[in-house]
Amino acid sequence: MGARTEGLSRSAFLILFALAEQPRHGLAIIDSIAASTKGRVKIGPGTLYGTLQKLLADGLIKEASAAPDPDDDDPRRRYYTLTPKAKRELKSEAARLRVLVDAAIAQGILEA
Amino acid sequence: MAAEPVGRRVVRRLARLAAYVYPQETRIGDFGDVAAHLWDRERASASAFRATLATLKILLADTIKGSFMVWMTRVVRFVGDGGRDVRLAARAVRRRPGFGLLVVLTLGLGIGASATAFDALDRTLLRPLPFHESDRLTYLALRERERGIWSSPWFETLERWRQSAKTLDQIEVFTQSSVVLHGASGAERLDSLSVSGGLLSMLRIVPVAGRLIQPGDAEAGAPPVVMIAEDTWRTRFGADPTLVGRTLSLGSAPQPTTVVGVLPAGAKIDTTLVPAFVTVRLRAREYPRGQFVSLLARMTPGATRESVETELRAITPTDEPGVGTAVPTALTPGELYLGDTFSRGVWLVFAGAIALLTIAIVNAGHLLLGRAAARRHELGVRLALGGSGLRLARLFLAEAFVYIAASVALGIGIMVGLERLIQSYEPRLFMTMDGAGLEGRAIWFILAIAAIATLACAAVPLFQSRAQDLRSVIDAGDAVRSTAKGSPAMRALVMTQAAIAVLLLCGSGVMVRSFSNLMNVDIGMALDRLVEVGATAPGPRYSTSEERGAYLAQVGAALKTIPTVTGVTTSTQPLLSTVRSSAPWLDGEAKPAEPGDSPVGLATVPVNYFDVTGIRLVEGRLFQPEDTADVAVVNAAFAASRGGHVIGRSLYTAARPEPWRIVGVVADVKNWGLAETAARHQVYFLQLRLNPGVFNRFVMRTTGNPSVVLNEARRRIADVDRMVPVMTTQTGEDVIRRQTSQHRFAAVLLSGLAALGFGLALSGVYGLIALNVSQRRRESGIRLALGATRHGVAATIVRSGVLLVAIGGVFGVIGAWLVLPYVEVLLFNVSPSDPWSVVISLMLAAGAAAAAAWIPARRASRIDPARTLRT
Repeated sequence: MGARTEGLSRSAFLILFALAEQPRHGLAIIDSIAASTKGRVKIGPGTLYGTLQKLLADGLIKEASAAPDPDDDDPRRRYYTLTPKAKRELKSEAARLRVLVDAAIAQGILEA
Repeated sequence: MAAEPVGRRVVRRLARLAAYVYPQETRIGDFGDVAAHLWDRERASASAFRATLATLKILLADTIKGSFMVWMTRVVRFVGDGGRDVRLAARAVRRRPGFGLLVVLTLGLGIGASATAFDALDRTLLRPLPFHESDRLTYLALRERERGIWSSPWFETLERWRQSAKTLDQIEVFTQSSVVLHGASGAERLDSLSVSGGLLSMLRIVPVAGRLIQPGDAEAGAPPVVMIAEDTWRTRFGADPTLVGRTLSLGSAPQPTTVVGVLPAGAKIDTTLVPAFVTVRLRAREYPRGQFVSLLARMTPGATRESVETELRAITPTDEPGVGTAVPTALTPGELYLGDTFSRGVWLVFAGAIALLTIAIVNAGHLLLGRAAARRHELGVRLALGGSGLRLARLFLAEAFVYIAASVALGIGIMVGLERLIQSYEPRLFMTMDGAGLEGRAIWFILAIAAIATLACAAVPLFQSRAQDLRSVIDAGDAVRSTAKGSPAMRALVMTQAAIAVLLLCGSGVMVRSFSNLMNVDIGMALDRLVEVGATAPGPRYSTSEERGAYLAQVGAALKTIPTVTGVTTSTQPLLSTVRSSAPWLDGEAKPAEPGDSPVGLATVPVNYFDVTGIRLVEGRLFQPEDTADVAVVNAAFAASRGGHVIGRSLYTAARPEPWRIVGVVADVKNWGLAETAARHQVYFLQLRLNPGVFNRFVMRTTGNPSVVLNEARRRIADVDRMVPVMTTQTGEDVIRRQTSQHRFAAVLLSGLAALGFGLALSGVYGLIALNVSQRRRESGIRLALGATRHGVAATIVRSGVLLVAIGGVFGVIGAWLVLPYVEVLLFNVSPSDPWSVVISLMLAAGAAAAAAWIPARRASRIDPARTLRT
């Protein structure tokens, strides 16, 4: 698909990033994103589910078979986990970002 | 559980609502829960109100951005898949080239014919004048009620309208004329347009060079000026910019005339004439009374053609000279130039073409339907494998699209070809066209019918595939096929086709009968081998009456020596036409009041006129060489109006006090037009020698080819004096062709459409029966096995085909009875519900349907029952 060469969309990257640590359900993904971006990025339900659906269709995430947190007993909750393909994507996307950050530091835009 | 805070409840509800903006598969979670969760997070650091606001902000941005992205992705994907479908469909079409060709041919014919008819309609009747504020321009004319033709008012009426009409800002006039251009190589007569002073500025025409003719140029004592047409300027004067301001020698009495400007080629003021020059005339003293003058007027803002008509009728006295029984009318250019009859003909042909298009679309839909039936198994499998209805629709749409795209290409080709053909045959139809081609509204028309055809062709098989539960097809397998007895949809389509085809056949039948009646009219003279050449002795070259007489005698003598010419005579009246004059009266009658209600044709002719033209003697005698110049011959209609007793009586005219003695009665000649049914009065006066003061028309009878004689006559007249231009020339055939053109045009085009429509409808019948037969193999086999004769099986099938067409045909006849009275004005001596046309159309349709059904029926009767039953 053509979209892959363009890199991941911002929300897709953030969701994959949130799922990298452990499988999460929708609301937990929102919290994780808010935490990792220090509250700067707040995604809404449409973006969340729209992106999840797209990531599912593209084979980057899949539904986790079992809830990682046994205390969590809400049966409506669906947990998502990364596929190996997503791990590679995330890695290359992060690498791409690092190149940008390094360049920004080299040009004095960011402090090291 | 504690009651949920209001703000939290609001955002939860709103988010659930917002979820419906997204496609269904996106709603994998509860939007409300997410919104409530967001609210909780905001609430942790702010008031409930602020938390609600913040959450709403997130939701709003999310909904707008998110739903837009999701839908765009879907659209892009759908279109992308659509492209794949088109490729898929194109491949499917290529796999069955014969079938595809049939569909494309059918639709291409329909699209081509209807686009041509639309283009003709648009160019002649719909399109506004190509001038400034064209919606405020209107033509004015007098409509003669009884004959449905236009005439122009006399100058006095024009002046009255100019002064009194409040709905009109300005009335300008123009008329066709000709000028004689004197150059080094001799004199040449060129077409020109005479205009009133304000016409060109009213139309806001921008001259290519120089200036327009202006009102000042029309004032008494103004120096003679002329505008040259761009084409003439380029071809004859090499676009010489210094021509403007120079003088040319123009006119039969050569007069230095200043060229003031160049008229752009696009300014088609009179759409039936491409003039070489535009001159100023049409002041009171030059305003012609017999000739047609076009009145073009600018309406005041808010005025309509209706309000103009109402006002002009109110301010025009009915006893006004030149008006008579005619009524002032505001017209479009098409109505004026083509006339009521011709306009209706154009509409009729357009309606016929739309009928043909309908048949073509129905036929294509029918063919695709047949194919869908053959593909039921495949489609059933597709549906069973999870193909959605939408997906199936797209597949049908893509297939229809492929066919239509090819058909449109073919249709455009047909249109361009047809327009070329018609243009050479009936130039008035495409008179505003610079060569055939696609332009303007015709393109939109084609796109519109292409869209309709695509939808129709896609909808028919889709509807069909939905109606029959395709999933059952798989269970039942091929067994289902044998129960189909030609689906109701297909039978309805064939009946529709038959109805339209019979309607077209009736229309064309009536037109053809009308045209043949017209061609078989007793004209009253033997026109077919006559040639007419006009000649006059121009004033300055031949100053005395003797000189002019000698010149004309020389011309007459020169014409007599042309091989194959057996006789030469003259007349002051053109062939099969008349110059209307005030009525003469007989001894014992009062002089009729002006203007006469029934105009009389007066012609001055030499002794041999009746011999050469072949006009028959009815009573008394023709002119004899020993007659003196006071004898006259009248026509039968004139004699009948006086109870048949006219011979020996004295006839008086307003022109001279001495009477004429009537010596004979001749047959009526259709001088008022072939389609004229009322016999008009005509008087012939004996002319002893050519009248040098008037325009003389030489009429020759030939045993050879009239066109060859015409060319030879031109050469011989030029031999007498190269400096005198040859005037109007025509053959008897030209006259007939001109007078029958609108009938011929409607008959030929409508017959062509009917033949095409009929052919398409027949292929529809054939297709249906053939499909039916192949689906009913089993049934036919069983019948044969049970003892039915082969003939009986075939007859059953043929009967079903004929029955369909007959039922459709009856609807077609009803349609013809409803539609054709609207075009009665086009018909000559035939009723719009002509029983012969109806009977012949129905018999033709039924017979052809039987023939079309017979081919597959014979196939069915040859089925081997044993083999059919085993499989």
